[in-house]
Amino acid sequence: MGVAEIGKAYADKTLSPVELVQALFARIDRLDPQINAFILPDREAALAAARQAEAEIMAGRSRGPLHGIPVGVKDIIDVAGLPTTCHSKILAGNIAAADAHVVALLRRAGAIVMGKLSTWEFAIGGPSFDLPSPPARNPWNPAHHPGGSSSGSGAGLAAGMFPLALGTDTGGSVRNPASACGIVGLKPTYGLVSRRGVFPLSFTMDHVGPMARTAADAAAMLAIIAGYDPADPGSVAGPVQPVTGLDRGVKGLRVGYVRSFHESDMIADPEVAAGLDGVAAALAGQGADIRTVTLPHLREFIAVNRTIQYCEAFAIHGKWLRERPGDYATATRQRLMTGAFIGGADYVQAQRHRLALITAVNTVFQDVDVLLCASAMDPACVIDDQDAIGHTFSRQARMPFNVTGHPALAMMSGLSQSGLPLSVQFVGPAYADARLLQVAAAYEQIAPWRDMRPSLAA
Amino acid sequence: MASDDEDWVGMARRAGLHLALEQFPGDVAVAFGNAVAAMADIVPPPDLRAEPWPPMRPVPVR
Repeated sequence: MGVAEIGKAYADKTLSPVELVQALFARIDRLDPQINAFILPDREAALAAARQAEAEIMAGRSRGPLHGIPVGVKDIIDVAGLPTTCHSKILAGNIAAADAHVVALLRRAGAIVMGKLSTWEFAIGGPSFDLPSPPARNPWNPAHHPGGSSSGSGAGLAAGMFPLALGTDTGGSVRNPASACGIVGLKPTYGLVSRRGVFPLSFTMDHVGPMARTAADAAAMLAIIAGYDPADPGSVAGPVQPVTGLDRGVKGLRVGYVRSFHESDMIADPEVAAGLDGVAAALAGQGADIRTVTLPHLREFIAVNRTIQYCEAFAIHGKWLRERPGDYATATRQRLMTGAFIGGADYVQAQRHRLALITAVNTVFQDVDVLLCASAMDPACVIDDQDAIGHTFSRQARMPFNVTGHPALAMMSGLSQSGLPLSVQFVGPAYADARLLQVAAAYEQIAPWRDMRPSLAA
Repeated sequence: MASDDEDWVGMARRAGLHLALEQFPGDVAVAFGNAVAAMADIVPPPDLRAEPWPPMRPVPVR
């Protein structure tokens, strides 16, 4: 069930928040031993919150669309009283003193926190087996990875364990699990959603974003979590664009199709490429004006993303890497130590290069309203094949929009022959987040896969 | 940027990664390789005076 459907059932008194939370925990008990979406389910607190929501709704004191809606929280985001471990031995026993700003906003809106979700270690590692908890797996096929780093968020949504989840995205970590698990993940415009109370990876490029099974649900979550937070240095003051107009369709919308990303910069899997062409054709069939556009080569965006990310991450992790290198998983340690080898001038050159890339993307947006491009170049590979993980890890087109700060949304574009989700990415001008959700909602309506779910979740 | 093995070991020591060099020398080498690969495609702006991004934005104190 989606957010609006649940809200209607609550209003009609055909379902109560307590009944829903109990049913979801029964599902979690049944499925999570295979999926590992949760690091820490918080059953008692969730049931207490559900009872409170139930009493308020029954008394006619509704707090809005998210009242009584269960939400999963990635374990790099603070929930007061619960551990924030970042899926790492380094932070074992680290109890959050306060809610992250986004969690506080969700709770104020009546959402129910279901617990803490699996992540790649410190949102950078990769699916690792040398961590305190096992890595999340893909509900479409548990032998495959679910993407990351917001892996538990994507896997839990696809498995129907909760209707909404919070993820974070520095190099694509909301959109990667959205792509691998066939759900909707939005990296909002940089500065639109507060990062206070979220463990940092790269101050320049960290984003918090909504993850859901539909565009409408992601929109409902964004409407609550977007807004200025003076305690986040990256937060942008100014009016929040209303998250409305999801039903406007795409007629007349100018869609720039970035074929170069997957046709020449990196050659995508043929099924991924066909899926992207299918999305373009479907939108054209609804009246969108599809135009081919070109952006700078993917390798430039990736170089800038990595150089900045590695430097900023080493500034954060240097002390622990010096004192406790053995407490990181191998993949995390290798990536986090990289910043030790990048000089100050190289970091500044990357920041200067970033400005050139922002300018290039903004120039394209003078002629189009939204971009359509690849997210992942391949369907998710087998989780324990390190060679395949290593090969596909970099084969993506999500990093560009962490570098530039533009809003970007990933969603399913179909299923591969092997039954794994394929994906598409939509990108908008700064603060046009609602437009992306509008395009995603329009595509959902005509997508032939719209009612498909993993058989595990049936 | 260092150009040979001796240099990267020295850089790791200067960064205080003695324990990592002792316990995980292969991982330190991978990290060095990551850095070389990441920076290879950074293009400095043709205008040497170009500002990095973002510029400083002082906030008035009320």
